[in-house]
Amino acid sequence: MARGSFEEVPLSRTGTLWVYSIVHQSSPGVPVPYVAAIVDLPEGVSVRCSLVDVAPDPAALSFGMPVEMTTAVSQQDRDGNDVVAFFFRPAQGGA
Amino acid sequence: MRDVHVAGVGMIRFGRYKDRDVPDLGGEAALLALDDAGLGVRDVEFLAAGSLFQANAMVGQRILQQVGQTGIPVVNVANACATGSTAFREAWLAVASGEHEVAVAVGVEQMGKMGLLGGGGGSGVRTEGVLGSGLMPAVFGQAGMEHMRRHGTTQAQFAKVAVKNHRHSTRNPLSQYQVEVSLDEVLNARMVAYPNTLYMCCPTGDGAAAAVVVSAAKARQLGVGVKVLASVLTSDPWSERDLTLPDVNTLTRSAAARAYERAGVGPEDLDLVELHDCFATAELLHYENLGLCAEGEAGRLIDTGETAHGGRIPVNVSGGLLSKGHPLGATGVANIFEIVQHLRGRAAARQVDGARVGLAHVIGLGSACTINILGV
Repeated sequence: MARGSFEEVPLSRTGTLWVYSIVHQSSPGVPVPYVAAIVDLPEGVSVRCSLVDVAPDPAALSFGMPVEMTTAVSQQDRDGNDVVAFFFRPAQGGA
Repeated sequence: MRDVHVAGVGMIRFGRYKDRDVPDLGGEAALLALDDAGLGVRDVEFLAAGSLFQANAMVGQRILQQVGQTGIPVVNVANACATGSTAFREAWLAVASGEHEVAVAVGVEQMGKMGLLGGGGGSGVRTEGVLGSGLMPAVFGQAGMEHMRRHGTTQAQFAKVAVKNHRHSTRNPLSQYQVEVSLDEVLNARMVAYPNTLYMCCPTGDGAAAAVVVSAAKARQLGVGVKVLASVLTSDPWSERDLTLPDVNTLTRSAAARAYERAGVGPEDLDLVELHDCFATAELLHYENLGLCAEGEAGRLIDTGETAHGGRIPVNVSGGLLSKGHPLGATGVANIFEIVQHLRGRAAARQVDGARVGLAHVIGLGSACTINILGV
C-alpha cells in the first residue's frame, strides 16, 4: 500500500524499561549525567526518552522496571518560552 | 559480474593533520596504493571517493587535482561510517560490471576534535538529554545493554574488547594510538556513556586509505592480486524499535548471509576479521552477527581469547577503530587495507600467519552495512 490513512491509538502513560545508557559526556550545553532510555509501551510502541527522578547509576536501574510518563519544562526556547517535554520516571503506582 | 582483484593498497597513519587538507591526505593514500600496484594515475579509469564531512565538496575531483586530472569519471560517496567501504564497493562494481579495467577507491576524513558532538539543532530547541540520547556513545551503549539484558553479558566482558584491540595496536605503526591498557584501566577510565568508558570509545581523527581494484586479466598482467570474493551493501529493514534504538544487528546479519553465500565461504573459513568496533559493545554484538560464535556466546568468545592475535579467529589485529582510529570516510578502506596486507603476508609484526581469507565489516548508522570478503 503506497498511501493510506492513519488510525489514532491512545497510548498508555506507563510502560517498562527496555534498555538504557547513562550519558556522562554530551554536546556542549547539555547537563550531564542523564539516563537515556528506551521504554516499551503495552501497545507495542517503543519510545526514546530520558528517565528522571532516578539516580544515574546502574544499581538504581533494572531491565523491565515499570516506568510512568511525566512532563516538565525542559528549557526555554530563543524567545524565552517554556519548552515542555515528556519524560519517564520509575512508576509510583496508581497507573 | 566478473572477478575483481585488489592490486594495491595504501594508507597513512591515522591521527591529526592540522596543517594538511582532505584532498592532500586522500591524494597521498591514492599514490601509495598506485605505487603498491605498480600503476600510475594514467592507468586509472574510475575513481570513487568517500568523505563524510566534505560530502558536498567534490573530494574525488580535488584528489585528482593533486595526483593527476585525467578526465576520468569520479563519484563522491557519503554513507555514514560506511562511506569508505561504499566507495570501495563502487570501484568494485565499476570493474565487476566490465565497464573499467582499473578503478581506485579513496576514503578520507578530517574530523577535528569535536567529532559527532558538534552541530546542534536549528530550531534552538535542544532534544539531546531531553528525548534520551541520539549520540553514538549512548546508542551503542544501549545496543550493548540489549546484549546484557538478553545474555547476561557483563561490562567487564565489553571492556576486554578494548584491552585486546589497544594491545593489538601496539604492533601497528599506522594506528592513531599504540598504547596498551589494562582491564582495570579500562573499567576505571572516565565514563562516557555506560557501559562504555573512554577507552571503549573510538577516537576522532584524520586519515586516508586507498585501494586499487582491477580485472582478473589486469591482475595477471601485473602479477598481483587478492580476489574480492564478495562485496555486499545493505540498509536496515523497518522495525518498530529501529525508530528509537537503531538496529545495528539485522543489517549486519543480512549482509553476512549474502556475503558468505556469494563468496562460497563460511565464518569457519575466515583467518581474520576487521569489524566495526566503534565502541567496545559493538564488537561483541558483531561476533554473533557475523557468525563467529553461536547466539549469546560473544561474552564467552572474548573471555577465551580466541579473537586475540594468535587465537582461533583474530578480530581487529590492526587495533580496530578503538585504537587505530575512526576517521569516518577512511575507515572502510583502511579495513580492506588491513585484510589485504595479511593476505599478502605483508603485515609485519602483526601478521596473521598463513591468512588466506579475510572479512572486512563496516556499519554506518542511518543505516548502511558493508561486508567485503577477500581471499588468495
